[in-house]
Amino acid sequence: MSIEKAEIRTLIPHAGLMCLLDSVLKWDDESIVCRSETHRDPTNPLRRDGQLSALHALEYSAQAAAVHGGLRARSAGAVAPPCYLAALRDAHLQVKRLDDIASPLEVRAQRLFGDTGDTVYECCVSAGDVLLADGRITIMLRT
Amino acid sequence: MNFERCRAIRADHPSLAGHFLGEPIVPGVVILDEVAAALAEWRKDCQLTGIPAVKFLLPLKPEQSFTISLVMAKDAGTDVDFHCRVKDRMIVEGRLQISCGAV
Repeated sequence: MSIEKAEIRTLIPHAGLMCLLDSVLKWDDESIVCRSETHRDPTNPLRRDGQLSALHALEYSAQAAAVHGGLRARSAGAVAPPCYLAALRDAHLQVKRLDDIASPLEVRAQRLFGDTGDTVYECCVSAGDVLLADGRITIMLRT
Repeated sequence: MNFERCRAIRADHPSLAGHFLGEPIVPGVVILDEVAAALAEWRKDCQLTGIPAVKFLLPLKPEQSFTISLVMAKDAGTDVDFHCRVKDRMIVEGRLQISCGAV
């Protein structure tokens, strides 16, 4: 049973068009798999001169990690504290842009370490079986 | 050899309405997009292929002007080190991996 956009909006602070993920396909305590077609949306708020750079795959990844934090907090009867993207490591971009990718994006985030607040995730964004971008992201508490 | 550009993200940037409601903070990827644009201006024959490391140290507010500095990394082939400053305060620093030549 997938989690759809309306529910995702209750889990993360990203509002309006900045809520980039369309659904959560599956998740457990260690990982999450999300899906999105907003990369092709002409109104995607991260487009620059009409194009969506591949580096924005890292924002899709950060939002998947944020949704994961929200789901973990909710299952513990809590609300995730506000966090922000604090660092990126070893990110690779296999393509230049995302807006010309025909298939839906699959965004995977695996929690490597950390708990509520300061957490490191290994992420990858793919379309079909093709890897588009991957890297590690650090999410920290907003103070 | 280095390259500098001064930039600001306008308050009407479409990402800001939802990032976050009533408390606009420039998304880190929007800053990186500006860094990538500066890189494209500096090294026209190069393409961004990776981001070995980035730290977001301080939040950037809409309309706040910041300076992007790019410099070839001393110890790492074609990598480019960068940082972004608001006045003399570092807000983002990191390293970009680029591929040059036939793009």
